[in-house]
Amino acid sequence: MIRRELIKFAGGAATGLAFTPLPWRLLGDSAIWTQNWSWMPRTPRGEVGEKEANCTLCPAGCAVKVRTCGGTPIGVWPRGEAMCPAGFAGHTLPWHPLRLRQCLNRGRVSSLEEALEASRAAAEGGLAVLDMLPGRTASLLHRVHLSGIANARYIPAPQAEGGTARAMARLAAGSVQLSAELGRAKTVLSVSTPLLDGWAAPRRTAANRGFTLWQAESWRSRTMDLADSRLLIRPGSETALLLGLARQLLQTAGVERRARLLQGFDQLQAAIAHAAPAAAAERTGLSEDRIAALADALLRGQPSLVIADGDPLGGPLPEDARLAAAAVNVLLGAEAFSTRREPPVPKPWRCIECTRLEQVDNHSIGLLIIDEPAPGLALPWAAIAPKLKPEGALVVALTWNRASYARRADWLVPVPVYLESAADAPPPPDTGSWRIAVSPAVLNPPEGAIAAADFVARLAGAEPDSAARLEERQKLAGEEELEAAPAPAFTRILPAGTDGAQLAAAAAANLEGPPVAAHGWRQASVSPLLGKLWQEWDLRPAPGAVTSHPETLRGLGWHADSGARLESEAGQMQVLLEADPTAPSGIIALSAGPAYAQICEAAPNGAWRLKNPKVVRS
Amino acid sequence: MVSALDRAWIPRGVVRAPLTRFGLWVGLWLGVFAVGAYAMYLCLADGLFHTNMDNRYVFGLWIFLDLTVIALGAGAFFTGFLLYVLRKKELKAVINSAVVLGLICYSGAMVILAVDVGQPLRAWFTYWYPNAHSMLAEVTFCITCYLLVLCIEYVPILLKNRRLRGIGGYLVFEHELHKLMVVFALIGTLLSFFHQGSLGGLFGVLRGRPFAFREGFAIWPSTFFLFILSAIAAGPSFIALTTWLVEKISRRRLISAEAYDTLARISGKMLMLYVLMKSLDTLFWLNQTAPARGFPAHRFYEFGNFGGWTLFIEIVILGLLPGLALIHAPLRAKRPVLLAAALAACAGVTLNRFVLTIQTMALPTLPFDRLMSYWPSWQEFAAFGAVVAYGVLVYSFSFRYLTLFPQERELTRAELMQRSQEA
Amino acid sequence: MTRRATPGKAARYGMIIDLDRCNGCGACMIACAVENNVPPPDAKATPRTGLNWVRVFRVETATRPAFVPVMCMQCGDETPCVSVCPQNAVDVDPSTGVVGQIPERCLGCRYCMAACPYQARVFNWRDPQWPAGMEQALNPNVSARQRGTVEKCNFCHGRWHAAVEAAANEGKTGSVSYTPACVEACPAQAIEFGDLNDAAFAAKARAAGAFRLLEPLGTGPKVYYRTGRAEVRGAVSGLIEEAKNGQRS
Repeated sequence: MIRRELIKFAGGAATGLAFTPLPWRLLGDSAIWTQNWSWMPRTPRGEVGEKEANCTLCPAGCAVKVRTCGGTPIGVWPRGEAMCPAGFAGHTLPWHPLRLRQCLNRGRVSSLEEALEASRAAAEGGLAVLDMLPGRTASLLHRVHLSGIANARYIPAPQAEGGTARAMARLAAGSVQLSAELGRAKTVLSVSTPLLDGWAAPRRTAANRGFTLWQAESWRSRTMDLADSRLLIRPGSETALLLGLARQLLQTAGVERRARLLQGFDQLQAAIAHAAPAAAAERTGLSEDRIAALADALLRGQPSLVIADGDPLGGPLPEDARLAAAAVNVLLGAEAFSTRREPPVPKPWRCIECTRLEQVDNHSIGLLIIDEPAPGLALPWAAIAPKLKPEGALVVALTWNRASYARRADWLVPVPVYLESAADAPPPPDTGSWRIAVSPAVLNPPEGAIAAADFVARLAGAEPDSAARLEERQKLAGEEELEAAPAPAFTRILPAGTDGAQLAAAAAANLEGPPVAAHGWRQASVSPLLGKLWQEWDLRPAPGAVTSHPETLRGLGWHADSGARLESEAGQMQVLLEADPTAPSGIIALSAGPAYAQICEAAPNGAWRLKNPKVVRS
Repeated sequence: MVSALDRAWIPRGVVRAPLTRFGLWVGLWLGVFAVGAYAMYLCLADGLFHTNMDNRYVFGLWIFLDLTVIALGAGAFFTGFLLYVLRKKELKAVINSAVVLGLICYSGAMVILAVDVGQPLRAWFTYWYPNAHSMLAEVTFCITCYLLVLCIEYVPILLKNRRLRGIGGYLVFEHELHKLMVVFALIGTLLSFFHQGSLGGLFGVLRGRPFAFREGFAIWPSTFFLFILSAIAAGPSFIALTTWLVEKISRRRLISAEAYDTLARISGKMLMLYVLMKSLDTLFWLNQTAPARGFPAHRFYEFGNFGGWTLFIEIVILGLLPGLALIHAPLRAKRPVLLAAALAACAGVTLNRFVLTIQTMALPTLPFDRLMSYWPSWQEFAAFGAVVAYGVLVYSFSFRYLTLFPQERELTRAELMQRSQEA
Repeated sequence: MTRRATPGKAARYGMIIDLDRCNGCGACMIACAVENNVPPPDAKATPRTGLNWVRVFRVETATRPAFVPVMCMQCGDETPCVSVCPQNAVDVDPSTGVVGQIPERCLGCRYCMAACPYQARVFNWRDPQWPAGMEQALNPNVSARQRGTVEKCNFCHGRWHAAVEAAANEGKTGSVSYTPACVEACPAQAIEFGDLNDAAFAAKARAAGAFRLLEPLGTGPKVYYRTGRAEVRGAVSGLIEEAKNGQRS
C-alpha cells in the first residue's frame, strides 16, 4: 500500500503543481533569462547630447558632431559634409584593445615621472622629436618648447608632407609650401597614389568629384576601381610613364615653347631622350596610343594635375618619379597648385626650424621622442635607427598604442587620443584653403596620459599648457583676416642640380627585389569595428593580406597559405597569402598596416623596400 | 548477480549474446555518445560558432540528417497504418522494431534540433506564439505530438517484457492500451502525414529560393506530398535493411522471408509512384515554376559540384531502378537484390533531402553572389554521432530485453530443431 | 502576424540607392554597426559568419566594377521571412512597412535566413562582445542582441522611434520623416530614403534606370537601385533580359 500511496501522492502533486504559478512563472522567467544573461552588455544611460567637433584622425579634418550619452561619446556623425568609414568608429578609439593606458619601461609598468627623469638624463646626448603627424598645433608647440633646449631638433615624418607638392615647391619661386587643389582640377592623373581612398578628404572625392581621374598603377587598387580611366602599368615603371608623358606633351607646340623658357629644360631633354613613345610603351606595358590619349586628356582637360605621392602605408614613390611628376605638372601649367598659407602663429611663440630626417647625422641622437598621436602612422624603423647613438640612446614613444613602437622604444608613454583632449588636425594635402579643425575634449584621458607637447614642455622645464595654447591659436585664427595667397610662379622644370641622364637611368632601372605593391588604408587601425569591412566582409583587403597571380607566387617560390610570415632583414609580419587567378601577373599586392613599415628599409631614393624578403609558414 | 539479472530480463525462448560481448558493444557506443555529448555541450554552452554553419549555410549537416532520419523513421507510422488500419497481418513481425526505430529517429532528431536552434530555452515559444502560416510551426507541433504517440506505442512493447508482465496492473494497462493501438496508429498516421509533408513544405514554400520553391495544391507546395510519398516509400525499405542488419549483428533469424517480401513490395510500389510524381514535378518546376521567377533551369546546374547529375542519380539510379527491382517479384526474391534495392531507395531519399537542404543553401540567388561550399565541423559530426549512438543503445537494449520480433522465437526453435536433427 | 496600430497616415518607407554614386567605401556598414550596436568582429569571424546589416558587394562588370549595398529589402509583397517564422518573431509594421525582427522572441532556428533571397539576415553565432569599456559607447536607444538570435536591418528602428516620439511631443501623429544611419553616413549621398506613399519619392523609384533586386521573385522589395550604366544593371538586377542585352526591357 505504501507504494500506491507514494504514486498517488506524486501524481496528485504533479497535477496540483500545474495550478500553481510556479511552472508558469518558470516559463516566463526562462524567457527573461534568455534576454538578460549577465554577460550581455548594458547600454549606457544618461542624457543624450551633441557637440560640434572635427575629426582629427587624419589631415582631412572633417566637420563632425559627436553624440554623447551621459557625457560619453556614443557616435560621430557628419556635420553637413562627408566622412570616411573610420570616422564613424572614431569615438571607440579610447577603448581600442591596443590602447596604451600606462607608462611602460621595456614592458614594465612605470610612472610618468620616471620616464621624464630618464629622458632628462638622456637628452644631454642630443634630443630630437620625431613628429609622425606634423602640421598640428602640437607640432608647433614641440618646436616652441625645443627652442629652450640646447642641441634639440624637430623632425617631421618625411612621408607626411605630400611628395608631389614638396617636389613642386622646389620648382617655385621663393620659399613656399604648396597644395594640390583637387577641387580646382578638371583632369587628374594619379600615379600609384590612393587618391580616392584616404588620400584626400572624403567630401572632395566621394560625391560628385569634379574631375576626370586617370589612375596609373600596377595592381587593382580601390582608386583603380573607381577611376574613369585605368592604366595598368608594370611594377616600377612610374617614372618611365611620366617621362614618356613629358615627351608626348613636349610635342605640342605651345607646351614646348613655354617649357623652353624654364630653367632645367636641358636636363629634362636629357631625361626624356630615351623616353620615345615606343620605349615608354614597352616599359610600362601600355600601348603608345594609350599614353598619347592620356597626354591629350591632360592637355584638353585643363586645369590638370598629376599626383605621384605613393601610399601612406606602402611608402612614397621614389624621388625620380616625384621629380618627373613635378616636371609634367609644370609642362601642364600647374594651375591647380596653390600656395598653402602658413597657419597663424601667435607672435611670442618662438619655434626652432624643422630638420629633415635625411639631414640628421648618423649616431647623433641621444634621446629620440616619437610623437605618435593617431593610428595608421608609419615610418620604417630602419630609417630612424642609424640616427641614434650606438651607445646609451634612449627612445621614448609618446603613443596611443601598445603595438607599433613597443618593440623599439625604451619607454612607452600614453597620450590622450581623439576626443580625450583638445587637438587639431594638420592641414589637408588636397587644398590650400586653411582652417583650423579642432576636436574638443569630451572624455577624460586615462590616468597617467600626457599630451605629447606637454611632455616635451616638462622636459624643457616649461609649463605644460598645450590646451591653453591651442585655444590661443584658435582665437587668433578666428580674428585673423585670411588673405588670398598669391599663385605660385614656377621658374624651373627640374630642381637645380638634377642630372637628366640619371633620371633617365632611374626610369630604365629594374626593380630591386620582388615587385611588391604595398598599399595601406591609414584609417584601418582606428577601431576593431572596421574589421567589419575585411574580416566580416570582403570589401577591403585585410591588413596583412597578400594577393597575387598564382604564376607570380610560384615564380617566387611563395605558397598560398592562410598563416604565413613575411620576413625581411628588418623584421617580420604575419601575412595571408592568397592566389588569385584574376590578379594582374608580375606583381604582389600587399595590404600594409603600420607593421609593414617596420620590416622595410628606406632606399636612398626615398621609396620603402623589403630587403631579401621571404615567406615562411607559421 | 548481474548476469543472473540479465538472464532474468531476456525474453524466453530467444538466444542473446553473452553479457560481456553485450557490455563491450554498449561501452563502445557509450564512448561515441560521450564525445558527441561533449560537442553538444560546447554548442549549447558557448554558441553555435562551434559548428561550420554560417549566415549562408544556416542549415547544415544536422538539418539534412534530421530530415533524412525522419524520412527513414516514417517506417514506424506507415507500418502501423498498414498493420492496424489496412490489416496487413504479415507486418506484425516488424511492427515492434519499427516503433522502436521510429522512436529513436524522432527523439534523436528532436535532440539535435534542440542543439541546432540558437535559443533552446525558448523552444516553447512556438506553442505560445505560434505562427499558423509557418511550416516549421506545423512541423514542431506534429513532431512533438507524434513523438508522444510513439512513446505511447512503445509502452506496450516495454510492458510485455517478461519481468514487467509479472506486475498485474501493468499487464491490464498494456492490454487496454493495445486495444487502443488502432486509434494511436490512426493519430500517428495523421500527424506523420502532416509533418512529413510540412518538412517538405518547409523548402517548397521558400518563394525567395527558386531552387526549392514549388507550386502546389492549396497552401501546400508539391514537395509537401513528395516528402510524404518518398518517406513512406523508403520507410519499409529502411525497416527491411535494419532488420537484416540486426540479423547479421545478432547472428539470428528474426523475421520470415514473407515479411521481407511484403516490406519490399510495398516499398517498391510506393517508390514507383514517387518517381512518377517526382519526375512530373521536376519537369513542371524546370520549365514553369523556376523560369517564371527569373531563374532559368540551367542556372541551377551550371556549377561544377552540383551539375544535372544529382537530378539523374536521384530520380533514375536511386529511384526508378530500385523501384523496378522491388516491384518485380522474382528479382526481390533474391535477398542481395532486395537489400541493394532497399539501400538504394534509402540513399535516394537521403540524396533528395541533401539536395533540398544543402544544395538550396549552396546556390546563390543574387546574380552577383557565388556558390559556396561547406564542410561540417567535428562538433557537428560528433553530435550526430551521439544521436546514432543513442539510437544504437536504445535499440540494443530493446532488442536484448524486449520482444521486437515476435517471429524470432519460432524461427529460433525451428533452427534449434534443425540443428539437433542434423546432429 | 502582429499588427501595430498607429493613428494617422501610414508610411511605406523605402530607399533608392544610386549605384553610379556608391564608391564602396563602407561608411554605411560602419555607421550601421555603430548606430545599431552590432559588435565588432570576433577573432574567428569570417565574411560568412559576420554580423553586417548592410553589405557592400563589389560586382565586376564589362567595364569598371560597381559597388552594391545590400540590406534588408523590406519586402512588401508576400514577405518571404515573415510567413516562415514559427513563433511570430518577424512582422511587418503596417504603419511603416518595415519588416521587424524581435530578437527577444527569436528561437534561432534560422528558417527566415534560409527564406531570404537577399541573404540580408545574420545570425549571432556567439555572444556579442565589445572590447573592455567600449560598451560605454553603445547607442542607448538600441539594445544588444543575444547569442543565438537572428538580426537584420530595420531601417534604424531606434531613429524612427525617436522621430515618432519627437513628433508626438509636438502633437503630430502618423508618418514621420527621419534618416537611417547609412543614409546619413553615405559620403557620396548615394542613398535616398523616403516614403513610397509620397508621390514624388515613388516617381523617383519608378524612374528610368531604376530597378529592384530579383524583381521576378515577386517579393516587392522597397529598396530600389538606380544606375545609368547598362552593364551594371545587367550584372546586378538579376533580370535575364538585362544580363543578355545589357539593356532594360
